[in-house]
Amino acid sequence: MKTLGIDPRVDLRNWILLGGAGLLLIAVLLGVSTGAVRVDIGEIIDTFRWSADVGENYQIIYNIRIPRVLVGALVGMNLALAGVILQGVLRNPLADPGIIGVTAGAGLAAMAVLILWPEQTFLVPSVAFVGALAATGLVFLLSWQDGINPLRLILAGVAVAAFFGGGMSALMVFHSDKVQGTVNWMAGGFQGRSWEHVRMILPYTVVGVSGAMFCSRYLNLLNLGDEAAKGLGVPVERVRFALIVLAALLAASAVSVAGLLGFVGLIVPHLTRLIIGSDSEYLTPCAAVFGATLVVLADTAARLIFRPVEIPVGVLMAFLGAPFFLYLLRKGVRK
Amino acid sequence: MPKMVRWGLPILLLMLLGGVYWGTAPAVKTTEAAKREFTDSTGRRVQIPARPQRVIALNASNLDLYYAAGGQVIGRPTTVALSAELLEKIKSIPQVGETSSPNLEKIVSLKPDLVLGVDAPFHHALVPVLEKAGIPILLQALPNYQSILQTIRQYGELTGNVDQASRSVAEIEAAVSRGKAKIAGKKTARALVIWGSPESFNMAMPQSFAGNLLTLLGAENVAQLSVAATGPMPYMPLSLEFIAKADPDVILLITHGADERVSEKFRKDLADHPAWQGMRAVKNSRVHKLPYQLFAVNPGTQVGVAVELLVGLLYPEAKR
Repeated sequence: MKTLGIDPRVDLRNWILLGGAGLLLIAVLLGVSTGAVRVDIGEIIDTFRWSADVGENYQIIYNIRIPRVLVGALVGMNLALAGVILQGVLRNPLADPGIIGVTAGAGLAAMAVLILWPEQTFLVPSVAFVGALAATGLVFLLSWQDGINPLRLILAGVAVAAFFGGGMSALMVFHSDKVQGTVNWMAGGFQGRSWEHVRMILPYTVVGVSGAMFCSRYLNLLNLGDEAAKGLGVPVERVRFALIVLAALLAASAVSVAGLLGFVGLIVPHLTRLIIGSDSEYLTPCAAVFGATLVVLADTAARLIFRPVEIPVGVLMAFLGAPFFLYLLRKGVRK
Repeated sequence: MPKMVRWGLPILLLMLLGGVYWGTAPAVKTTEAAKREFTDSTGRRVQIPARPQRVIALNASNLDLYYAAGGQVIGRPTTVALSAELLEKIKSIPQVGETSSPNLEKIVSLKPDLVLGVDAPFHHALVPVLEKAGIPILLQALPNYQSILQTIRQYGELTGNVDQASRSVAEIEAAVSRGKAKIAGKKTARALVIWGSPESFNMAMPQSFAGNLLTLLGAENVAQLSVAATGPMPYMPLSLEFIAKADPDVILLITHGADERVSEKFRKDLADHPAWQGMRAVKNSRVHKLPYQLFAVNPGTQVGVAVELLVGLLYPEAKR
């Protein structure tokens, strides 16, 4: 008689997870120690001593580089998790934070501030966050039918995105001279992110990551289909609603501090799935770690390649990430 | 292992949360030098050194005006939209990146005591970080001719070179009055300034820099005939029908890029275009492309050159 053993892939998956965490640590250290200005490791350590006499590069390390790297890691984590949750709940491989209206709502709100009241630029993260949640709420309202129907949600998302997109186009046409000021935010990036931004996104990351870690089992069950999940005792409607709200909070907080950084939420979940398989118990933590690593590495590269000129990190990520993703996809198919 | 991560990741993040919210960092020590209060064009009141010694300009116009006021900078934008003479002068000064995405680390590492930026979101975003580092930043809009003269005078007080600043102002004013003198008594020219391309364009309203120069030269901007002229927007999309009815004497084009192809190409494009070819300006070959450096961005001290060029195009008979 054959005993029920442990899946032989578990060991491998554990190693991949551990490796990912190690890679994230290396990425963060690399991000903090490199940049347009050369700093010593000693200076970085001194920064954390809270001593009264601060070194020459204290300002650069403490107020520019560390918050920037942290914001990058948290944004990557949030977007990747939002993508994993949405792709799982909606059972749609093309689902990303844009599909529930987050991107369009945040985009229109932020653009209105950047164009009409540029002197209030500091309000952009809060306004974008509110805009994202408002658009998501609208999508929810439109798709509600005794609970959330995934197909209606996707269609409502497309309609709301088109409506808000019209608003953005109108702003661009009537203020064509000020469009340049919005381009950086639209492309997404971490230029000038400070501790305020870390404070803004971190609570949502804590809630979102904890939620995602403990809900990953439900994601597995939802993947079996509504009927099967119901048969196994899952309150499908309630779980689906809670998970989408979680994804909306994760994505809205990420978009509000980083701008419209599209690529991460769509590609990182697929990338992780190709590497580690689709068991959500491994997929969620792994996607969080990979998302953070990818964004931190890409941002570091964006700062370094043509220094002191910076490339928008979204552009760099699309140019490097898309071919890598295609490579994994082809390799996966051949197997 | 998943259990370890499931608990580990949230706990790690919670610790970070604690550190970020309740950790305190030592305050920045700023050197006590004589200060003055400066109100920039966004209405912010900024405490800046009475006589800044280490200034960084983030865009071409500010750099140009600061040098016109007899100043010198220690950091400059990555740009070529400046006069050849000035470019030669600043060749060896460190660059701090493109105007629309300056490099914060580079700026802070140069230890400036004043940064000059523009009234645009990408510079507003620098304010909180620079403030923490104890570096004041001025955001200047420069929307029209008057603001150029005013800014040179203000910068003259900062550099302590008031004479040099007055000389620069006088030179610009002289160039503009020479232009005005040429057109005295001439019939008012009716002009249209297009921003974009013949396919996708906006019209320059009186609030734009080019529109402001038209007003200065007493030309009639046909865009003014529209109801939109009272609005605050410098550029407006308007229908071809409106333009055909207004039928301007001269059509001028400002493109988005610094691509300096001759206006011959633009003239031919309009002549071939069914909607444009019936207009008087096109029939009389009075369509011209304006140089990007002088009209799409604020020309700064080159405004005299811009005026001279505009006079030649609006009133060709006044050339001699």
